[in-house]
Amino acid sequence: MDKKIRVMIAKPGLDGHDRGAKIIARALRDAGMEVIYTGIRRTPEEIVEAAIQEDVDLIGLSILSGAHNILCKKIISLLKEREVEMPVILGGIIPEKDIPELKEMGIIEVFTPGTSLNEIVEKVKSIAMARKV
Amino acid sequence: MQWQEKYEGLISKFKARDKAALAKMISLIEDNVVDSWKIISKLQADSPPKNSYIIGITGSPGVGKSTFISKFVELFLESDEKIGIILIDPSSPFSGGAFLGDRIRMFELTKSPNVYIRSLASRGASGGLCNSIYDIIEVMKSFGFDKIIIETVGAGQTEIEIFYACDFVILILSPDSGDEVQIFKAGIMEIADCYVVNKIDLPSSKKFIVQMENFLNSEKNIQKKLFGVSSLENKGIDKIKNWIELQQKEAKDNAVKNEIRKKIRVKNFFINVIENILINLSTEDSDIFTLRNEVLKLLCKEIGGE
Repeated sequence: MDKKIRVMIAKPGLDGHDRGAKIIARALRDAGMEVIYTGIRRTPEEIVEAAIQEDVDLIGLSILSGAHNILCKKIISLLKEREVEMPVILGGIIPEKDIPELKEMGIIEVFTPGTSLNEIVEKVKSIAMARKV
Repeated sequence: MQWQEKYEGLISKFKARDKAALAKMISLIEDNVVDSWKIISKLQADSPPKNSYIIGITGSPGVGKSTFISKFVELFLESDEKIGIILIDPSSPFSGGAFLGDRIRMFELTKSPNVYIRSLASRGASGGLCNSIYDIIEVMKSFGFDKIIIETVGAGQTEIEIFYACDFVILILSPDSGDEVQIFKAGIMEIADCYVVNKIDLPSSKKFIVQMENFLNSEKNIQKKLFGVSSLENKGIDKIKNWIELQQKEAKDNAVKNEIRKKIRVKNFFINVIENILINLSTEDSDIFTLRNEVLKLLCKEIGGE
């Protein structure tokens, strides 16, 4: 019947700038998705637990602090520990050279500054739908 | 595949009190009404659901419902109670999407083993809740929560369905909620069992509390309680906890509300099925009578044989 895509936009770590995360959340909302926004300065443990309780189809992380490798690794390993299959994508200030390592650890997509909202919405939709079916 | 086989794994995890299974079950109820009723009945047949006390929190946008809940629930955790929290925010009438932001105010509760928090979108419902809320309450009772707390969307004067869904309703008001005339209006002001004026750290709160006291001293409202709190400064909330525990002890089995809930569940079931039919129906060439018959035919096909 009516299957709605549910996603969580989360900000792990210590950076307090969430304009980008809110704009993404709103764009996903306007594309018909239900978006749970966590607010800033969440720990990987909080994000994974909340994503499980909310049964989201995708976790979108926003990181501007430079700590993306450590935070993403932690979140992916917590998801594995809990035996939950949930796709994780990342956006923020991410240097090109870090992207291969992030993808290898299991981050499905990495969006850097300049990516169009349209592209993000379409990718999120197709990744989330794949889980839903 | 039969539904029993399809959901066997999920049901057994649910019975082991796995929060992930509860989360999946709630999604299932939101998305697929037909199977969810069968699952709910099976859960209830296997073991009787807990007689959870259901507390509704309502009030206008921005009065501090979520912040209040975060401080309020902390008080119950000291006594090791299991609490399920449902937070509802509006769906967009244009895109159908939603921005669910209530959880931000209560992230400290996320890791508490005794708490489960779920954000839901209203998905077109107009009473301040969502159409699947009654079915969701049923599974939450089966999960064994001592208390279920439901936060409505930022509610207007006629969004009063919380009254039917809950055993006890708290209306949160902000000191700048308007003058005395607003207090006397019908609708949401009538359905509360207790009134909480939040943000008493604001200077305008004294006058507003006096106006509320005058209102409640009228005969009809004499047994209703008024509390002034500051969720931000965590002041006064413990008094509400004590009062509610007293109410729960004295609560009688509410047969009238149970009847109404059953009826609303059936009504919402049909509304959901009909909405799904209408979405996929082309209306271009048919007049209104043909359309009605078409919907009736599809409705019988969809739910036939049950």
